[in-house]
Amino acid sequence: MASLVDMQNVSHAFGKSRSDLILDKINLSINEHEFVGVVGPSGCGKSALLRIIIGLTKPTDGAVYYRGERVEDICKGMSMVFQTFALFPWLTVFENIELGLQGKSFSKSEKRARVLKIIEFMGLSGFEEAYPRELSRGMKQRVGLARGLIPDPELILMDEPFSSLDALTATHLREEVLDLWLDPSVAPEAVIMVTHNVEEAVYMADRIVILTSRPGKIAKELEVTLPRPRDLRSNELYKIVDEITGFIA
Amino acid sequence: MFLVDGINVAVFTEIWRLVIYTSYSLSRLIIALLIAYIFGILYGIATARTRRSESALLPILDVLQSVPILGFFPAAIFFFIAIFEESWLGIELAAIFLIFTCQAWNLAFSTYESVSSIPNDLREASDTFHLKGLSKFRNLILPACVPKLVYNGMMSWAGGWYFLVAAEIIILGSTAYNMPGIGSYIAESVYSANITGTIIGLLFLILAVLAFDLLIWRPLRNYAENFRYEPVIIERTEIRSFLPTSTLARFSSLTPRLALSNQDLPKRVPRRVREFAGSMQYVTKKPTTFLAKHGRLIFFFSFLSVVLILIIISIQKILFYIPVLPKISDSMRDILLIQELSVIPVALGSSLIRLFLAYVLSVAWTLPLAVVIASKRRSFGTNMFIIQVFAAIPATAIFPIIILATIDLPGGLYLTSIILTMTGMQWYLLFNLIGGMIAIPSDLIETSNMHKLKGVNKWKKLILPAVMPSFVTGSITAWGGGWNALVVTEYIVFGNDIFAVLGIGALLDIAAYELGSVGLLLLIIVVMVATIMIINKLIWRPLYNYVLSKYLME
Repeated sequence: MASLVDMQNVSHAFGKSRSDLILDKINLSINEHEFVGVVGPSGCGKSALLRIIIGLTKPTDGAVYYRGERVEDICKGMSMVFQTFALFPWLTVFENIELGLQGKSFSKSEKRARVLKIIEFMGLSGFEEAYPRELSRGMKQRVGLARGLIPDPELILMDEPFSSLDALTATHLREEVLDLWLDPSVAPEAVIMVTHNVEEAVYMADRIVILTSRPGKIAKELEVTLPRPRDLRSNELYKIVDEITGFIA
Repeated sequence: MFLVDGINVAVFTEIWRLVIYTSYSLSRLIIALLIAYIFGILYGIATARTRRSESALLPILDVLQSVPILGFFPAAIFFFIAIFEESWLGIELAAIFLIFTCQAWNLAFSTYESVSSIPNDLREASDTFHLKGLSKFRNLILPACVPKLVYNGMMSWAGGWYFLVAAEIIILGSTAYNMPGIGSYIAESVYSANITGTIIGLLFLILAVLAFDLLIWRPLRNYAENFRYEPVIIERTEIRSFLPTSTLARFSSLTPRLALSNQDLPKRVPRRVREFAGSMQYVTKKPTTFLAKHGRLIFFFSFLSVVLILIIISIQKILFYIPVLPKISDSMRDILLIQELSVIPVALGSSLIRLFLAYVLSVAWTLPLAVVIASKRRSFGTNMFIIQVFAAIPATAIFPIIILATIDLPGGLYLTSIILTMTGMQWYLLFNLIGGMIAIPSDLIETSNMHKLKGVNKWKKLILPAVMPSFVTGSITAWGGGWNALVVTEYIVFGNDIFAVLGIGALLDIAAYELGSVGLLLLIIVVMVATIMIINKLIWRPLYNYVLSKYLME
């Protein structure tokens, strides 16, 4: 299998001393057609990991390769979905999503058509002219997802995408994301999802990377081979959850 | 052509003159504010760009901000008047520059604060979606600055009115250039004891202030609401901004609706005008749709008003030739000379005491009033409106009245100078305190009612801690205003009399007007700026940080 992203010996520190180290010699490959979940206790550098992969943060040491090329600047083939949605409060739903097409050489009418298409796809029809503050959290994250999807990225990075939603909304949106993932017409090549919710990771991911707490190191990688659709209450799933929780605790 | 039967021509020409003067003053203030906005946005963005630019540009701004408006006089005079050789243009530019100096710095500060407190996730989102250059400026940077730029624009605007009189009378050597303008008109009327002129002048001024507030600031304030982050995104540590930004906004929704609604206007008013007037109060909800709907009308109206001002000015030039530069008699030269520099520390001390007393007195009346106003929710809108009207009157224009009214009170000159200094401080305190009181969460009020908190206990447990952040913010801005006011309050020329008390502001005036000594002027400015910065560093900064960490509610 060709690998999409390669992290080689990536370490990251906020300050100079060793105690500032938040990621320690991470070696990780992301393959095509793979949904990777990254779990770990809070403060283990999960979010920093994503930011290093996309090129927002330069790692203190080591390198990230995207399709064999070193990531030096913000990577064009990836996009990100944020825990806090990161919607621009002064832009409408339409304009927020349109930002995802920034720098693409589509004509104005084509841009419009694409945005409208994804708005419909994400169930946001009728909210084109609404402002983020007028939306529920679930709708906001739909906008966030739409904005992440619209540039047709090969890799989507999701940073705790469901953890600022209430339980019911989160369950719904998880299903929607899985449907998306299984729909070849829109799915990206790969997804990396960072979460502190182990059940969520096991329920959704093909492979789970477990990080230890400060400094974050890869404690274990684990394939989840349960057939889809998975049952969140099944014993098989809980066995895996228990195994992972054991590693974290 | 104005000789119509039954109309008193003298009154008519007087009113006509005032219309012209008001438009002159308005043009000056608007041009200065626009330049201040451009400067402030560029400087603020440059400052927030990198650590290095921040450490280089921020201290400069700190110094510039603490230089009182009169400190810029020599620069204005030497630069503009030297270049344009005492022509009309040079003196106008000097006046605009002076107004600019009391409007620009807080705009730069607020831009810097807004840019550096853009939530991290929005920055990251704009980076990951490749926003760069102009599109980053349009979609991220500028919108993020809008709420504070509007709020501070209002402050700057008020500051411009306060110093209008000082800016419209420029003194160069032994000649004073008295520019046509509402500020100089009122000052002249007051000095020459022309009561009718004073009253009509003040009326025009208040009308101009109110009209501008109604037509420009109120819609803008509502519009700016769309540019706030939702509280979830803002992290506690990032609320570095002064509180009034969030609290003053509440006023706009509570003040009485002065804008006419669609139905209020008679039927024969053209439909478009009615639509526009009706929408004034609903400007807010959807900025883009509002602009799309009324953009042309807004453009049309602003264009119309500019054209109107130009027409009025040109008609005046043709019909009534009012000399542009009437010269004030040079009667004020015979005053004390400063022989020894040792006066400076004494004057500084005396100014400090004056500021302190004015501050204490301001607190003494604004704090209880704020509590009362905030507790009467039903009449809140009306009360705020009345206060806004009072605050809008540029006190400098009526100084002589205040002097006459207070000079015979016990304490004489000293009390008067303290009261004058209060005019530059009290409103900042009052508005911030009301903002703080209004923002007390209702659950806290309900809890304290439930536990029957009363009297001293209520003040100690609820009111004071709750308003503490706005109190400190108000105090900082009030002291800033006070320092600036010293130059216009410690030394006032009143007809042939000079009203002066010992103080650093008076020294500054004397150095500028009487002695024309640039060296002495610079020395006084350096002393003053150094004092202000030391006080900021030693008292206000630590206090502000302490209060924010302890009392901020979120």
